Order: sequence, then C-alpha cells, then structure tokens
Amino acid sequence: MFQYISRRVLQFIPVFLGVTLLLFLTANYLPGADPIQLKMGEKAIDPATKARLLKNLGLDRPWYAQYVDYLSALSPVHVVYYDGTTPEADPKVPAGALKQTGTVALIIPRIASEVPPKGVTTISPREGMTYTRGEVARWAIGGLTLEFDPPDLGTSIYNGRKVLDILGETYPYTVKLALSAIILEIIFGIGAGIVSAIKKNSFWDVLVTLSTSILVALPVFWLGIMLQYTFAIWLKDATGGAFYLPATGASGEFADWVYLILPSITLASVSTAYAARIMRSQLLEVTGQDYIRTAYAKGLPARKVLWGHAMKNALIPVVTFIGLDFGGMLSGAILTESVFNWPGVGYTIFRAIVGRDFPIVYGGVTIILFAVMFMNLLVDISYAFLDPRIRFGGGES
Amino acid sequence: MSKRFRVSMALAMALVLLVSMAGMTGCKAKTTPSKDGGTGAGDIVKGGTMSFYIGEPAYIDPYNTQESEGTEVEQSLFDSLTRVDPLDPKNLVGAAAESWEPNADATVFTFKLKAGAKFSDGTPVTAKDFVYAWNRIVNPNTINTLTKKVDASVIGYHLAFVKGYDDVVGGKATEMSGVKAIDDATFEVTLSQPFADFAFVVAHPALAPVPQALVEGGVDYNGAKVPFGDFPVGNGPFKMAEPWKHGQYIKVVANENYVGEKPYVDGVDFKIFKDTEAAYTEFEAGNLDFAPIGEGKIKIAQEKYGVSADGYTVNPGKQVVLGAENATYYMIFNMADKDLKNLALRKAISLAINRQAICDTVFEGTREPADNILPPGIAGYEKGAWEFAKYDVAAAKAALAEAGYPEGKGLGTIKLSFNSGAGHEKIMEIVQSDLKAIGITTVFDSADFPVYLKSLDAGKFQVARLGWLADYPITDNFLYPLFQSKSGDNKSKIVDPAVDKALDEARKITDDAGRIKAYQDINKTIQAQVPVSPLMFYKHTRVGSSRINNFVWDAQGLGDFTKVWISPAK
Repeated sequence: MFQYISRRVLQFIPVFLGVTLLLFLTANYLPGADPIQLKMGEKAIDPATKARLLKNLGLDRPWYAQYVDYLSALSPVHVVYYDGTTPEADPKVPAGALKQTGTVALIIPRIASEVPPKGVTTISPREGMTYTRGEVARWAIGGLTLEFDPPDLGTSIYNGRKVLDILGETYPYTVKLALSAIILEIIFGIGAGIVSAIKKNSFWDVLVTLSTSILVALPVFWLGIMLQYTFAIWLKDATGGAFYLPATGASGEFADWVYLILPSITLASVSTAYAARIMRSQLLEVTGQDYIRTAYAKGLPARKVLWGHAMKNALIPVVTFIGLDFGGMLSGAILTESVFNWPGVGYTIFRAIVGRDFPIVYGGVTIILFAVMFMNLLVDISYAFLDPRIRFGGGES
Repeated sequence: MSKRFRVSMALAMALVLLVSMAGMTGCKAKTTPSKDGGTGAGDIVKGGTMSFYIGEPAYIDPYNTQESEGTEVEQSLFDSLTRVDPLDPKNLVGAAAESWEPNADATVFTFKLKAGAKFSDGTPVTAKDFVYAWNRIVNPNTINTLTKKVDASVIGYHLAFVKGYDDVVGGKATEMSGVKAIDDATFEVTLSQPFADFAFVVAHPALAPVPQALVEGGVDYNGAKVPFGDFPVGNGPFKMAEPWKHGQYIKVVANENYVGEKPYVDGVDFKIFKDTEAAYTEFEAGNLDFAPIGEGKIKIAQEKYGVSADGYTVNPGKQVVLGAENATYYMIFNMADKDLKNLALRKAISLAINRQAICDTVFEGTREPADNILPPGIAGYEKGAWEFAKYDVAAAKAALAEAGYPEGKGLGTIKLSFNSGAGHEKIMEIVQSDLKAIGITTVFDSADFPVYLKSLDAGKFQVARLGWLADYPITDNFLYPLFQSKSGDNKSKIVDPAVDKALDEARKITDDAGRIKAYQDINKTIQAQVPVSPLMFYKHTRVGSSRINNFVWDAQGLGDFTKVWISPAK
C-alpha cells in the first residue's frame, strides 16, 4: 500500500508540470488586450504607466521565464550558489544582517516582499524586482546554500492582493460547500438508490426514478433561484417570517450553517440524482449474480446478504462517481456561487479568467490540481477496502 | 393498493413537484408601501444601518480607486477638496476645502481647508496630507499596503496637469513641484498648463487626503495592525467599522470626528455580490436597501415600487431611480478606413439609426436617445447639438447618394464591431436592420472583450461601439479625451489641429459662461465631421427599499449617505 501511495504521489509531478505548462502556454498565446488594459476597461491607459505595471508584475518577460518564476516562487526549497563577491551596498538591509555576501551566480529567483526581514540576503536580478532569500531558514556550505521560504503564488493584477490571501479566504468556503453537498449526495443518493433497488417496481422505485429524471433535467441555476424564491421570499411573506432561509451570503442574522442549506442542495441536486441511479442499477445487477443466490441458498438473512455481500461490490462505481464529483466540487461551483453569492473559489477563478488576471488563474489551478489529485488518490485507496481482490503496489496487478 | 395505482400515485406526485416548481416563477414578494406617501418629508429619524449593493472593489485605498465599486465605498470614507452637487452636477460645493480660488490664467489654484477637520482617528487634516496623498498617486514606486510591494496607481492621469507630474512619473523626482502646503490650512496647486475646470477634477473621490503615518505603519484594530488598504482611515462622514471582509462585505459607521454635517444613519453595510440578479433577489427578500434591478424586471419594479420623482432620490413609494447618468453610448467610425473616411457615408449611417427603437425595445425605456455626445447633466449640453444624431431615413438616403453610393450601390459590406456577450448583440441587430433599410449591408464582427479592445487600439475596425462615463461632469472630460488628436481614447482617430488648439484655449477661460460657450462651439465643429455617432444616454436602473428616505444616488453613480434616514420598523 505504501509503495502504491508513493508511486501515485510521484505521478503527481508529471501531471502537475503538464497541466501548469499547458496553462502558461495557453495564457501566453491568448489573443487580445493585456491584463492592465482590461483593468482600465474601455478607458485608455498611458503607455508608460502600462509598461511600468507590466514590468512590476514580471509580465514583460517571455512566458518560459514567467513559468520559471512561478515554479520557483511555489517551491519552498531553493539551492543557490553565491560566488563570494560583495554585492552593492543595499541601504534597506541593516548593517551586519548579511550572513553571507555575494552576487548570485546560479539561482532560481523568487518574488517576495520589498523590505527583507533581518538576516536575509537581498538580490535584484532584474530591474524593479527585489527577491528575498531564505526567509524561513538557510544552510550554507561554502558558496552553496539551501534556502527555505514559504510558497508564494504572486499577486493579483486586478487588485494587487496576494493570490495566497485571496485563495486562503475563498477556498475554505468552497470546501465547506463541497463537503455539505457531498454529504447530501451520499445520504440521499445512495439511500434512494438502495430503496429503489430493493423495492424494485414499487411506488418508491417509480418515485425515485421520476424525481431523479426531473433533477437531472433541471438547470442548476434555475433550481437555485426557485429555492431562493420559495424559502427566502415566498415563505418569508407567507409565514410572516416565522420560517424562512437566507437568500444569499455566508453569514448574517442566522447561524452560519443555515447559509449552507440552499446552496448545498442546489450543488448536490444533479449528482445526487446520478448517484441514486448508479446505485440502483449496480445493486440490481449485483443481486442478480450467482454468489448472491448462493448466499441466499446458504440461508443467510437478507440483511446480511445485502450489506455484507451485495453492497460492497455495488458501491465501487458509486464511490468512483462520488469521489470524482467531490473533486469537481472542490474546483468551485461557478453557478451555485453566483446565484447564492457564496464566497467560494469558483467565481473568483472565473472572474480572473475573464479579466486575464493570470496569477489568480495559475494559483487557483495549482490549489485545485492538488485537491483533485488528492481526492483521486483517496478514491483509489478506498477500492482496497471495498474489494480485497483489488491489490495495490508490488508486482501484483 | 394495486401496483398500477401506486405507480400512478408516484407519477402524480412527481408532476405536482414539477408544477409547483414551475409555478414558483410567478411568485412575487409582497411589499407594503409606506404610509407617508413617499414624500420623505416626515420627521427625520436618526439611527439604523442602510445596506447597499456593490461588486467586489479592486481598491478602497484612494491612491488606486478607479472603478465604481471601490469609489462608492471610498467616497463615504473620504472627502476630497470639492464635491459635485449630487442633484445639480453642474455645481461644485466645498468638501474638505472651505473655499478655492484660481489665478487669472487658471494655472494656480489655492484651496483653503476647513478649520477643525480631522481624520476619523482624531488627527487633524492638513495641507501636507494632500501633498502626500497626491504624490502617492503619481509616484511609480508607491507600495501597496496589502502586499508591501510596488503597485503603481493607474489613476495618476487625474493629476497629469500638475506641474512636476512628468518628473515624478519619469522617476526624476519623488514629489511634484506643483503641489505645496503653504501652511496647514492652505493647499496650493500649480498646473503645467491652464485648466479652468480643475476644481471639478479635484472633486474626484480618489484625490482625498490620507494620513501618512497610518498608510505606512498600518491601522490599529483589536490590538493588531491592519494594512491601510483593508482599513482606510479618512476624513469623510463614515469610518471603517472593521477591516474589509473580501468577497462578503465592507461595513462603515458614522465618523464622530467628521467636520461636516453628520449622517443620520449609524452606518452603511456595503454587501458584496458576484451577480446583480442575486442582489435583486436579496432586495426582494427584504434584506438589501439598494440594488440593481434584475434584467427584464424594470417594468414590474416600476409598478411595484414606484418611480423616483427626480430620477435620483429614493423615498418610500418612489423607489426606482431612472435618472440620466453622465455617460454616453456611441458608435465610432474609423476615419482612417477607406470607406469611412467619406464624411457623407458617416452622416448616412448616423442618420439611419432609430435610437428610440433601441431604447424602447432593448432597454424598456431605461435609456434615452442621444442627440449629443455630451449627456444632459453636463454644463455644455445643448439639445440636438449633434445634427446627425437623429433618425431621418430620407436624409440618410440622400447622404448615402451624396457619398457616391445611391441606395448602397457600389459600397462593399461594412463591418460592425462590438464585444460579444455583454448585451450589445440586440442593439447591433437593430443598427444592422436600420442600415439595411437604406441599402448598407453590414456584417457582425464580434469578439470577446480583450480581443475587441485590442482591435480598437490597433485601428482594425470600421464601425464599432463604445461607452464613455465621465470622470468628472465637465465638457472637457468628453471632448478632450475623445477628440483631441493625441488622446489614447480618440479611437476614431479624428485629427483636427483647429479642434486641438481650441480645446487648449478653452481650458484657459476662467469665466464659466465664456468657457461653456467655447466648448459648445468646439462641440459644433467636431459634430460636423461625424467622427462618432452618439446613440444613447445611459440611465440608472436601481431600486431602493421602502424603509429608506431621501437617499440620493447621483448622476455619477455615487450615493449620498449623509442625508438618508431610515423609517423605524413598524
């Protein structure tokens, strides 16, 4: 198992590099105005200001240099070689603060704060940019230094904020919404599927089949708006405010979890219907198999046959679906976030794509990439528990 | 129960579910109009918090507020030197300045600051705070307080007339020689060229004073330092209640240190929305006091909430504001194009467009046909001044014949360019059919916004659309950027040395009436060349709740939160 997990983790690396490289290439070759002009809308910006801002953001450099900047800033570890010559005196660095002097001969530069913390060497490999090195720790052996810094995803072009700050405040909301939606999906999707399968052709089966057909056909945003009209407006008026739910937002006059109800129902709706249908068909297929008949023939009680034998096999496709769906939800839900004004990451990235705010797009994709790859790993591992025949690692396959 | 019965029951229940969901589209929120008949003249009640829709601002730190969302918040926290009268944009009133005086040729402006003015933290506002704030806007190495990194402002152009601006932008100096604190209460600005309307420029909310110590050292909040960019401290009627909660809200409360008239409300909650439709739903749910009206709901909103008498003021029962904005929607002609360099052809196109039809069918009457590039709220506006900005099919046909293309014969297909996905398609369809009616065949050339902007900059268009919202409600802010030959916003590329010279001359005229007359003459010269064709004036489409009184949302789209008061809950 350990071997399998480490192999999967190592497989992250080419996937990560492939996706991000593709992203940088696409962003670089997108036709149209630059992000600074887009920030100004239809108003012209004087060329000198534009050039200065592009330079400040490092956007004047070729795409591969920007890509190296991005990878380097993201990486917490850097190997740097200082050649030992004394750099030009920098008035911003307190006297005696430098543990090691030298112009940098071989570096992967990183972008960081303008005023460096004490004990850190500053270097300016290109005009208008200052890098700090070894913010967390540094070990030097001769001219060769190992430096540790917190990962950095750059700053937004549109509002000049740190991308990590922006994602740090939006991503928890995305995770919250995804978790509550997935819980609904597991309870109602799997539950309805089981009921529908074991009571095949009954009233409940028809009800589940019909409701899931309707839910699959409903556009998510429309369902969201309808829920808002019913629970935030109509019920508020009809009951004089005795029972109603918030229309939008993530906090306010109600307890915070109440704000999750309508968005998570909306987000979960379509997938719950799919989960129920997959559960139903899988369970029906499995219960028709020989080993189930054998189990019944051996005199096992129906409950034990269902939970002990049928469910384990029937669950594998459902778990795959729900796991991948959860990964999708962790990438943000643009429609649900817009309708309910939910402060998640999906809309933030969408806006960034439209406004060509590349650092947010790169940073957002990076975080989502890690989340989705992690979820896929969890799904794969869960197979082992559901079906012992599925082995991981070693030479077996 | 037979199986068939159970199946039919299930079918029926599913149908009921579907029908009830569909039926909900027709649900309307019930609102009870206020008893006082909407005059807003009842006894003013103090207290309460007004909630106000905004999108997520880019900046609320004055040094870089350029879009409407950030400006809305920022102007509640800061007072610039002057302020445009919310209900009469041709008029200026003092804000941080008690009085101001230009010299004879409008190159030196002296502002006397109000005595006793303080920032919300209690420190006095002096002329030095203006010097610091203005240099901060122009300096290319200004640090963004949120990241401590260089993040130059994009709105330095407001101060491009100030002496020494070029030196600071070019890195030769860090302070503009033209801004001086003569003493604590006297702020003197020297311009590099005359500009009589400069007192309107300084009304821009971004040109407010900022306290240097807090900008550079951060603001104390709950025992911690918060960056100024998330917690700006200003000299305006309100102050931040807590740091900006990005993506969710910005809460401001009345500033007890404000030197002007104190607001009636305790505070304003700027609720941040991603989507205007969601904001309108929140308004209908009764949780938002001022919101944009959802698409296609303007007529219903007018019936339900009543229309504001002057178009800008909200009172109970008269809640929908539909006043004209200081903004124009217009078509631009590429005057370097082989076809469009023909003046008579430009006239023909301009005369062929049925502006009223566009306003009525596409915008439910919430836009007004334009007869001038200047909107009616601007001092130089004259009704019908743009003689070709009207719908006259016979004249259009005659002009087309004069252009050498009788009934369109001999004229190739003209490209109509616009940015896709922003609602312009419906307008362009009408323009296309109007042009077809006089014999001009057009083809759509739409692209997403970034690509569209680039093609305009590169001059790769024939006829295209644009909108212009004035930074300050003055004639110069339309005519100079749009038609001065070297301006970046002159996308039609009209080059007329006489117009350039006249625009520079008009800026020197300190007599208001004389200056307005000069601009009107320039406007006439420009319109005769038909570089653009004004189509519509933008209008407000927002609605206030029945509990707010005397709330003015002015033609620039800025709310006056000092006069609004809230009816007590019944």
